[in-house]
Amino acid sequence: MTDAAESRLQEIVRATLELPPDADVTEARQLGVESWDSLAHVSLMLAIEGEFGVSIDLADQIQLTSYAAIRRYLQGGALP
Amino acid sequence: MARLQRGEASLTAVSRVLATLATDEHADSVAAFFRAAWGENLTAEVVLAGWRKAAAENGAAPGEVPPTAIVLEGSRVIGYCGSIPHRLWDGVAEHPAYWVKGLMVLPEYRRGPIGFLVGKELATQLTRTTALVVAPAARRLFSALGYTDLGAVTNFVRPLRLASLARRLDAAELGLGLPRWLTAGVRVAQRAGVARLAGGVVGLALDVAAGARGRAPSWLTTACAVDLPSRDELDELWHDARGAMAASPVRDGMYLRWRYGADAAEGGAAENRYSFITARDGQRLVGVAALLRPKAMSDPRLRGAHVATISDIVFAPGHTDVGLAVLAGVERVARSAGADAVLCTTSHRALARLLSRRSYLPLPGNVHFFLRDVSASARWPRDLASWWLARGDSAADEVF
Amino acid sequence: MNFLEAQRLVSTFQGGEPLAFLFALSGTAEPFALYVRAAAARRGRAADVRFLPFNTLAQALRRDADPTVTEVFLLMPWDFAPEADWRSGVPESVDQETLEARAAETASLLARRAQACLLYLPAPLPPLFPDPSRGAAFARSLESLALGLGARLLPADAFALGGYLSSGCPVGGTWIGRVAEAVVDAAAAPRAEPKKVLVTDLDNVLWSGLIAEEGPEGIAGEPSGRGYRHFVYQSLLRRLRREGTVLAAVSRNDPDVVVAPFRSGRLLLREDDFVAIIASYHAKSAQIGELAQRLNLSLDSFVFVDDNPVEVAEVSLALPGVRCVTFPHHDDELVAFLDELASLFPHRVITAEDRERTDMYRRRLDGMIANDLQGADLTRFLQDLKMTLTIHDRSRGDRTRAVQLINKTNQFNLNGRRVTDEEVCAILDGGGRLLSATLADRTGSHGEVLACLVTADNTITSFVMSCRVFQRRVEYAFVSWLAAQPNPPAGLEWASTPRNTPFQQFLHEVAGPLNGAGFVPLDVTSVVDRHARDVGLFALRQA
Repeated sequence: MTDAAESRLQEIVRATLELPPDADVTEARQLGVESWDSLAHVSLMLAIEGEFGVSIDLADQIQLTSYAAIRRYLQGGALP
Repeated sequence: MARLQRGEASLTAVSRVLATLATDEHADSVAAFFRAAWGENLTAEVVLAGWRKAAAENGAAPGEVPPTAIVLEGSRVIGYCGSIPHRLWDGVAEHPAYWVKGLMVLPEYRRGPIGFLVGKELATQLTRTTALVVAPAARRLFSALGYTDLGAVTNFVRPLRLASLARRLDAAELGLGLPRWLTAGVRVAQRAGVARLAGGVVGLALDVAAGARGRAPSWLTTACAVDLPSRDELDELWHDARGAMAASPVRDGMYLRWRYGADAAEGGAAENRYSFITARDGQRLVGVAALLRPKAMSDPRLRGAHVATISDIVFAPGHTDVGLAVLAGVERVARSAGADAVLCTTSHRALARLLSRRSYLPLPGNVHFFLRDVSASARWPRDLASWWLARGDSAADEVF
Repeated sequence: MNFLEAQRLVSTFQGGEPLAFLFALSGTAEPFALYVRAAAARRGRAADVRFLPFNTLAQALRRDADPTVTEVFLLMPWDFAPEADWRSGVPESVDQETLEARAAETASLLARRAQACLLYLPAPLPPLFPDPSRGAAFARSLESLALGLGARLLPADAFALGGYLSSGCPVGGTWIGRVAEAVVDAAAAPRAEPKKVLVTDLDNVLWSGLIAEEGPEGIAGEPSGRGYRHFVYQSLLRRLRREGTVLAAVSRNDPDVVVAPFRSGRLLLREDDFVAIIASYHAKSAQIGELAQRLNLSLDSFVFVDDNPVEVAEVSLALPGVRCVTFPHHDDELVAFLDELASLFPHRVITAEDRERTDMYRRRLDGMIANDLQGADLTRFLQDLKMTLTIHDRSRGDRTRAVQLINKTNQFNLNGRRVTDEEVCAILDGGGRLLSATLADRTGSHGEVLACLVTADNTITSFVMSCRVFQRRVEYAFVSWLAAQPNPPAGLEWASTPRNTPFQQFLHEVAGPLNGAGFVPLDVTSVVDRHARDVGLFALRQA
């Protein structure tokens, strides 16, 4: 993943989870972030789809419960 | 999952995670879900029997099984959202509706998309739905699904034995939305050992005030029974009462007897914890309340304290005397059942005034009332004070 | 527009003119919220969007539209045919007739919402039929239904089945931004109110030819030859009239002349298809203005069709609210012309009231008299035409066309006298002059349009001009030029005819009040002075 793409991903995570602009999200996990609830997760998946032009299968969405998992998932696919 | 090219159509590309409505073939998976999520020892046969019974009693759509949405991963149910049929009164007519009940996701799938999916699946199926929701995350979800949050329903508590309560309770644990100053104050008093004494003094004052401001009239007779009055009497009462209500779940004879009657008790012949307080003007039934007696083994959060709950109450809002008589009867019955306090959750301004006169203390509620009506056939008030809600709605009275 | 770009647009937006609308789709609309706000912000508008609750489009269509609310519908195939909804799986069996009937019903509900903006996403359908070709044909029929309603077609690639099944939103991640742009475009587009009245010229528009010059037998409006273009035009007007459009005609002609073709039965349209057929030599803008007043309709609801750019310019200038459309001079311009005209009168639903509208308005116009108000000042327009008037002395050489003009022109004719070539020859031999003029402008040549026969004693005995060039001030420029020549004419031999009202008007302006037939003297100095401006409209040449 390029630096630019990673930066975009982090910005998306902060925006959808309503975290401060300087929050370090690289260690963010569902259980560890209070604002990461069901609705926020749906918004996060949609935002990632919209930003990176990918379609995330529902079964995969369930597994993407941390920033690291999302990053690994996106690295596995082709990014613009 | 592959995007479809124009002209192509293939369901084999669909995800193995799927939101759908439960049918008979899912009974086994649903039973397994109940065991995993709630520890309830259910079998497929019990689930199916429950659906059949619900279909037979469905007042919103007679004969139809109330919709249940599930999310399947393969054949396993990982998310669930049920519904309870009822009817809503809009001041003019009655309309079929459903309570959304039991939204649950297996722990390992929480905070993901499953809650949203299963809630959306149910919302798709139902024109008019209501919900009583506590958790902030769940409230956000319901709002996102198109429900309108009409606000938190107020909890009113009438301490009967305040001394006993003050000594035992961890007020913060109760989940009644008590303000921090109160919970902290109680904790201090408890540590200082003065809680019992202070509680006794205050409790006496409350009783005197209730007697002075909320005296029940003597020309009404109140009684307590383990059975509800007849369906006809309850129908007549509801017909009389609803005329002054802008909005309410329908509380006629059919509903009350189904909800609180002997056959509503768990397991059929098992203990029915409801007592019914009636007020009569001569022979005519003018008011009724369903009081949930405290459990023999109270909720651990209560630490031995016993709370009785007014699950339902019906009287014409303008008949103040009747309301006071019913409430006085409730307190007598609650005391004799060993309750330390009575809980009444309501939003309606008329009932709230009467509760205040009977020395009920209003506490900020945390149960929010949600409404979603996409039919545009009714106009619902947006202020909760116009709604006649009760703790027993949506089977939400099993707090303690 | 991707997520972060949308976020930035919204967060940095300073505010702007509100753009309030209802965004209606049967799926989940909430994912669009951010992108719609961003697309509006990009246009400097503050989006105030209301979304329909999930899966309530069908109910919404059955409620009356609020005329104060702008509605944008994003339609999917299963909004027309619920059996085709992927979320319900492949149906066990379908009845095509039922599918088509349901689709038609939805289309008619949408058609009633004349102000709604429609977008259609032609998503693929599940396999509904055993024969895939039937499925493909059905998908195309749904698309046609949507197009017939005026829906804008979105690319099929915008549909994402996975997202639709999981979240209910039919538009995939990368497309949400683009679809949101389309939605905002639709919401922000100015509302085009359907027009109500079509006012048409007659000569060379409703029929080919000049009725006053060629008579009913000389014009053509049938499906053959030069009349074909006009026949097709008549057929469109006939359809529009049936759909409730009000037809009227204005023509620089005499009233009894223009009705003859309608009574001949050779036209598709009859006299009573029109609420009014106004024949007069006064400004068309004045007639249209009067018509609007009598019908109590705003000029914004009028369309005017004429082949003469000068007439079109006159009406445009005098009545800016009237939409003017020029009738094509060539068949290959007909398609675009008809498309434009038809688009001004969209009728999604036709009611019994629409069909009876013409009769109702005819009753209102009983006794309407032509308005003699002046029209617009066309000076600027005429200057822009860059007209060249070439004067020819036909006293010697080929005078065929000039003599023809004298003998076939009725309206702009000094006295209606026909002349034989021998008579012309005799006048010329006696010292008279035969002059003609050809007209050209930046659009091309109009040919020989004017002829003037002057006797040896300087009396104008014949003076004609083609009515094709009315309104261009050709006659004034010519007479002013003639008056400025050495040996100018002393006067004209005037006689009123049933057809020469246009000449009468001209003569009245040039020579003052007329006292019956006979010699009308010409004050050449006054003519030259008063019409110098008309001369200035032309590059005058002498051949």
